[in-house]
Amino acid sequence: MAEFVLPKGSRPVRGKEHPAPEGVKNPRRFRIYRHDPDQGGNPRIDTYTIDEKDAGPMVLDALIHIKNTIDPTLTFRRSCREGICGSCAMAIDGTNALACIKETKSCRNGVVAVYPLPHRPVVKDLVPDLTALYAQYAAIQPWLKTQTPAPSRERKQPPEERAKLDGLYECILCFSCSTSCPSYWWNEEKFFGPATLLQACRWILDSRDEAAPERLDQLEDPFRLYRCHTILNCTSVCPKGLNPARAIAEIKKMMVERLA
Amino acid sequence: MSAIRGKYAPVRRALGLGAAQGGTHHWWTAKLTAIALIPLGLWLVASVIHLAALDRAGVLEWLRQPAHGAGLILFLLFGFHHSAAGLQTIMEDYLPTHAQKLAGILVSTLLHLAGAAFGVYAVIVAALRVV
Repeated sequence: MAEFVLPKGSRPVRGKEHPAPEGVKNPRRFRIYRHDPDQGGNPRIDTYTIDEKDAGPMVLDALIHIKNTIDPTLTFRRSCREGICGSCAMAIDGTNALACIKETKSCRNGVVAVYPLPHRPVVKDLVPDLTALYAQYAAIQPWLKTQTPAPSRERKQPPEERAKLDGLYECILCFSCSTSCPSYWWNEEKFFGPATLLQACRWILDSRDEAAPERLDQLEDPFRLYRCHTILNCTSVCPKGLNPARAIAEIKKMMVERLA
Repeated sequence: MSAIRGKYAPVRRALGLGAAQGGTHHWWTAKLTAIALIPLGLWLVASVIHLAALDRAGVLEWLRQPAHGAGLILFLLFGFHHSAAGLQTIMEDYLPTHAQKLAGILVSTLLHLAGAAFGVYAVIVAALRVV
């Protein structure tokens, strides 16, 4: 359902100010969303000023620096620090991004705002609850489904068929796209969202998969697929440069192909 | 609100009551009517500019031409269909409860059908009426 203002208990209030250390040469301020549902109360925005040269170039480096030297209670997910695990997806400088490959100096505002992925329940600070998104991903059965018996060796795929998966298989399931989509915000219970639909497209187009009719049947729904109104936030935020909107359009084309 | 909420496991909630096995027709007809309305809309604007210089008898004479009457009826049918489809999508997006969605879609559909029927009737009567 469409919501245009945050519920009262979710509205952030001004939090703690952590001033710059003595003798700082290149100060950089970070406004970071803090919330611990176990403690109750409204979320707050804490401000940290660090010396840019003390941290690495990326926003994740700054977050790790803040956690290590200023505030060990700051909580966020991170793992690979090279844009392949998708753990550190968060809203940085107004746009969903991976903190590990988002350069601090690329932020448009002098004060870098760091929030969790939008419109998700918050587990703590910058950690969103992605359970519903994983469940939707599981619902499309993202594995090879076949009817013909398994061959003695691998199922072969010609290079031209394999090429159809380019732009789809690279998705790292960071859910930056789905959580940036207003249509997903309004209808997250029924709309599968760009990340899951891109994966659905990946399996429908896989020449080795033999469940395309069943997969398309599963998406033949006014909400699961057709809530995409080509807003294209998904495509503009994807940190891997993928185009979920195009994948959704491909599914719609296949739907029409079997209709007309 | 959905019948699938609250205590269910996440995948059960994601699956809900299953796919409605519909949606493509709605989406596709919305696109087709949109495409059809581009030339029809341009033609209507040009016609209205042309008709502005005519008196009542001249307008009725224009309307009696089969291509003109048929074009106007097509514009009305496609226009109302497109508007009904679009409004339904907007209501599905923004109305908060299932009951409100159903009521809104029902009222909108009836109004659009009435508008289309009234418009087509008016064109036919005007075209057939002897001045």
